Amino acid sequence: MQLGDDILGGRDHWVVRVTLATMFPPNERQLEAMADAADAHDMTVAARGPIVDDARDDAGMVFTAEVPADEIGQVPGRALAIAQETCGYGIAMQVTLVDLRICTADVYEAEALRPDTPELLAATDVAELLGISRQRVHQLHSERADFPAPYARLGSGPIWTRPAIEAFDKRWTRKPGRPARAAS
Amino acid sequence: MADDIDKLIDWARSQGWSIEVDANGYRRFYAPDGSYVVRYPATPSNPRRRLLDVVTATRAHGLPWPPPSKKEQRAQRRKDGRK
Repeated sequence: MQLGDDILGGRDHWVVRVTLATMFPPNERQLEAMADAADAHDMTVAARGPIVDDARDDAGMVFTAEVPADEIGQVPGRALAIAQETCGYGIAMQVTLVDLRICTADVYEAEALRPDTPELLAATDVAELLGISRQRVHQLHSERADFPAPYARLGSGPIWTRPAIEAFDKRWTRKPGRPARAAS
Repeated sequence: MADDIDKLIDWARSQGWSIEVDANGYRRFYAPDGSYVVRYPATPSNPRRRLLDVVTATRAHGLPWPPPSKKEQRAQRRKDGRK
């Protein structure tokens, strides 16, 4: 695989992630053997994470390396060779390439550290953010159709996500004081 | 960087992971079900990327991210009645 400078944009180094699928999950001894061989190339070897819980089809491992642009194409072959040389013989472990990603170090870091759980707020936190009492939070929740739906309901009460509450705060027109008494 | 990997280890342990450090300084990460996931070298030549590799691998195996902030950890300790 050759990628031209026009595509690589003149960047020196790239992070390459190679996911290999196997018929059976590699055991610790096999992963260690691969990691020992991969260390020589400054590559990390990790067990492949489940795409679906307990799915056997997700067996395999992930190789990650940071290489100069002109070595990008060598990484998949290097990973395959390490996997086959350390585990392939006598174990009937068929190894196939199933995913290949190339990105800059900046993109890799951003994706690695991207939060997967939103910041959650209890009623007390929502009250603090909106500058109102906790009781008023529950009142808004029960009375206003445009108040965000709780992300979850725990034994201690509902919880919301911060972005939803902040969005509500922006569009919420406050009317301070007691509501006008309806004319009788 | 050593500080960052230590923070990750503390967070993973708090979530039921076990991390073993061998005599050569390798840190091996085991998911809560006991399965081996990844290792962090004793003296990586590219510690930042190696740390990100471990973060990515442990997250793929269910470690929640990000860890709570120090403020949140303090609040949780207060709730639990710990100092």
